[in-house]
Amino acid sequence: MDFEIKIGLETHVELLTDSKMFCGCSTKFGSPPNTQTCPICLGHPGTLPVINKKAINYTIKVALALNCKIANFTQFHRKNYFYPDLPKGYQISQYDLPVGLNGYLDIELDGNKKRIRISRVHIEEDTAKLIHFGKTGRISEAVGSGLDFNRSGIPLLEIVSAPDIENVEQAKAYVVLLKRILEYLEISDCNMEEGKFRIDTNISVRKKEDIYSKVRTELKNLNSFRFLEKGLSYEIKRQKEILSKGQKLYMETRHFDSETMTTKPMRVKEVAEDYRYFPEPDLVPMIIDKKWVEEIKKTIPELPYRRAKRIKEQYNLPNNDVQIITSTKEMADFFEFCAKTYPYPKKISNWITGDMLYYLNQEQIQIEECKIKPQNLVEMLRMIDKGLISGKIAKSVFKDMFKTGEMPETIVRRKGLEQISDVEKISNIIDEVINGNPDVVKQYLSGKEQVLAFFIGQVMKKTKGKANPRIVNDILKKKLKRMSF
Amino acid sequence: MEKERLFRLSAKKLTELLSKREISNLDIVNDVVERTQEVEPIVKSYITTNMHGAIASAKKIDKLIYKSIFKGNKVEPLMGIPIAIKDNISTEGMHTTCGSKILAGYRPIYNATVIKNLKNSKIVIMGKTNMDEFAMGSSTENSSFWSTHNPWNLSNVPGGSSGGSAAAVAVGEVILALGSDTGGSVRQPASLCGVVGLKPTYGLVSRYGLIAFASSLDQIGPITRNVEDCALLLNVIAGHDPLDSTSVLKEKEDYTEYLKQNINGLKIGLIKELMGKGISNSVKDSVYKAMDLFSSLGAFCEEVSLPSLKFALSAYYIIAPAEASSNLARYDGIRYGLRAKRVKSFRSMYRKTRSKGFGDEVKRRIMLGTYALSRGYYEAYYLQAQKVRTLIINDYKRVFRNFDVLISPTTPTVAFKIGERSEDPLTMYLSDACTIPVNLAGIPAISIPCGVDNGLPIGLQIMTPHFKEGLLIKTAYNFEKNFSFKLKPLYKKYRE
Amino acid sequence: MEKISIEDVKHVAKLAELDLTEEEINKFVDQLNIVLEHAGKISEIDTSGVEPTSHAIDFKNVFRDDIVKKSVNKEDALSNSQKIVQDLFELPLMIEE
Repeated sequence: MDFEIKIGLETHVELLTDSKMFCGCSTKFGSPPNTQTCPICLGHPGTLPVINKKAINYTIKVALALNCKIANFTQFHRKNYFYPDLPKGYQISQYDLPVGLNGYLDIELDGNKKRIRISRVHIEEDTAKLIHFGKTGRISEAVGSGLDFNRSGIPLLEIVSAPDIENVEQAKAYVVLLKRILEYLEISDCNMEEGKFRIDTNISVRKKEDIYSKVRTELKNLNSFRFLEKGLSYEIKRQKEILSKGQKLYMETRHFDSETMTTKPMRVKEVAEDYRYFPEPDLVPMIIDKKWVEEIKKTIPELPYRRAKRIKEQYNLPNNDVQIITSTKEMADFFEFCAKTYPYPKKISNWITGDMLYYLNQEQIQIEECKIKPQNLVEMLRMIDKGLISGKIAKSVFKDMFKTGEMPETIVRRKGLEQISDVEKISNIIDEVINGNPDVVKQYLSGKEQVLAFFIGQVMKKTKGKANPRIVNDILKKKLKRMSF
Repeated sequence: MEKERLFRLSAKKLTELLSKREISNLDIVNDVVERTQEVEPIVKSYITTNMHGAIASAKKIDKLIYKSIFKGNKVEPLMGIPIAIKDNISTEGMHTTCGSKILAGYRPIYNATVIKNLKNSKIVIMGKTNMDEFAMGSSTENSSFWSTHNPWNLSNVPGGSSGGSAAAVAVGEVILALGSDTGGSVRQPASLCGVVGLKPTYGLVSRYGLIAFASSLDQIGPITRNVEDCALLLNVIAGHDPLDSTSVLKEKEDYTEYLKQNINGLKIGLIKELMGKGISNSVKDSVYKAMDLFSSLGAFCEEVSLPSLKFALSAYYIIAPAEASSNLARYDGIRYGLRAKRVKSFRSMYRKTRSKGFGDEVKRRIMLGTYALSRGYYEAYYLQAQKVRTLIINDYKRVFRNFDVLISPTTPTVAFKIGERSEDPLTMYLSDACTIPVNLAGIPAISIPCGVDNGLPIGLQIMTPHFKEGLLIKTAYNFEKNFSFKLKPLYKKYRE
Repeated sequence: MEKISIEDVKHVAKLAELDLTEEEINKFVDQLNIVLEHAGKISEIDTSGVEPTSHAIDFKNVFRDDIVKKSVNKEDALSNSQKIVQDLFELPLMIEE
């Protein structure tokens, strides 16, 4: 049976403002419960919201980066529903006049480009945090619950994609790219564990011939890349199975259970949802004029896709290198810092994608958190070029730099790792090696040139790896050649 | 003859006496407290009194006044003058209920901006006044505590929803009061109690700390015994507030400056649509007489038509309940106020708390507003009402091109009997027919006494364009100066 | 305008989280119909081409700067609540009945 799959993603992102959306309380994560609240974000009677301008700036910034049209006239609406985490009984959100409309994001999979349309980018306030008591902390097994309002009112961006995504791989590519862009824009730290980047999905699977079917399932709680993959895969499989049996699908909201890696229907409310949106009378509309948009445009850095393209062309690097280097803004910055003062980009790239990435992964840290700065790497590369250290020695120098952040010269000097480039000294050592291994010399002279490596290895052993390999190679070849006459 | 009691004097007069050190602030507060003790059991204006707090404040203020006079400075206007606050204005640490059981026991953790302003001016808060629950009503009978009585005739209502504030000012329990006006809730009780009530332009006075009924219509306004005190109080409460996004950025004005001007040549329009069916003859007579008085003072008076006003009441009873249904969603039992006991789940906590905590009228309006916003009805009701609102605004704009000031009755009739309309919501809603259009248009309006019928006062409503409170005060003051009216309740002795 | 039915009133009561008695429901059906009949008059007006008004005063672009202000202390935040547990506002069981 042929199926058509349509997936739309709704992403909620907490913005990196200092204060909340509508009041001056701090947005800092992890403070003791109910210590970052005030009458406004607690929804006390008589309080009023005032819009945080930076949150609007950030929203415009994201909308622009996602190629949206910026609304000239935009306003807030009240979304009315009752839930304990919503102190006012309504959420101040946006409805038919969001800040950004009709954008897109181009994802790339196996070299193929696919455009995912972005329906809207809007701004709203986050809800309070529900805390469930009980063994698991899960709502279904809770023996009691409580509310912490520290999160209540933190600016929350909502990015809604059109249902253009056709499979799990595309969904993942979309989310990875979106997250990378938001990090590039520096509007959110997108920390998924802290719930600052949350994903809800809409999935509809239908038989190819059922062109009129509009049934879709909402799937919530996919709060890591892994859960996104598992949840979507499970749900697609489940829906296909149902359709294959000739059964029908229903509109419903399902919840991803990370313990069983399956999806479960959420308890349905008796009353169909009716949010009774109306313009928020406590706030006034916003006019976003050209000048404002231009100002925000200036704050947008080069975005990952364009930067990758430029870096590839400008530095003539292979795709694989470019992909790693531009995976975060900070890594690309690191690379370009080095490239500014050092003329061989591929050498820089080799170190970043090699040893650097290895140690970063080992330590589970980001490049901006590590002790090596661009100057360290550039200095080390120069020392190699000048023949002051060998490539092999450099590897151990790099490891030390990663630990201590010291400059390479300091490490080399302290550990006595300077390369021996003294021709006479090397020549003497080579003589020792040649004289000590007459059998191998014979082999070489009989045409078995591979044994050259043996001689080099011996020289290195005697010099603890510090002999300049180029010079060793040169002298060794000359001496052996002379012996063949 | 009994010595003139201080509670009967105007704020202006009391400030003069304080300046001359003929009386102390404590004398004023003590006399007002004494009057309250005499009449409160009968009139029932207050939900919460702050007598001890007021006396303590008066003692402190007396020291300040002494220092100030000693330095050769004047006593600041309204310093030490007693004020009553409608119970829907947030007062830190002081019981604030909005006339509702759902907020019984609620002690706000912050002060409304107007309260901060009063405190900065050293005005003395005497207590929180009774009101229709969540300001929904026109008689103060919808208070979930008790009804307030009209001090002119105890079997009549004082009007509402700021009935407690108007009655307290009229009977001398206090010199000044604050009310709130969403569809006439300052002007209508002022009219029914024979005092002055002003609803400022939407955005002139901060709403921060005013417990919301209908956010796009609510304004706090002064209730006083004369226009001059009204201007003085408006001076204190008007002004931009960064905590209220709908508060206007405008330079502060001294409204008492307008008291010095005459109204020669002023163009006054009498709104035809507010003089028709449902307006009692005595009210009509008084308004026509008022027109004559204005003419005699050099104003040009003419009838004028605003056809869209016919639909104001209908639009209002969609918009206000719709906003209210949303504003009242926060009363869920979790963070403050009433919480139903023995509930199975959070939804039953919601339903039990809200059903127990809200009175009939509030439930009625929540139902009405929820319905008007619900799927399938939004366009026909809420959106259409907002378009009608545009037509009303345009009508006012049009006539204000030719007229400086508009007048009408404040209320269709004088104060009605307690219980008379309480079972008939629509008739009750009609009591606000003359005041509602003003809120929809956001313009300022004042009600001042313009006659008495059968021992009950009649009010004249004066309206001006946005932010022309000065013109409003000038017009009202010129009328008041030339119209003889005695606020009888001030001289009445009440027996239980 | 169509009349409001008992079912409508029950549905709206659920949206508004109100528990109404049968008596209240019947009363509200009558009263809301009277009020809505009056309010429904607005449908007679031709408002084609008329923009809706949400605010009588034409304000635009009112913002605050992103500056942190002192929050209230925890005790004040919790002071009006009937039920507190571990510095949290306590809730009844979070199940949909």
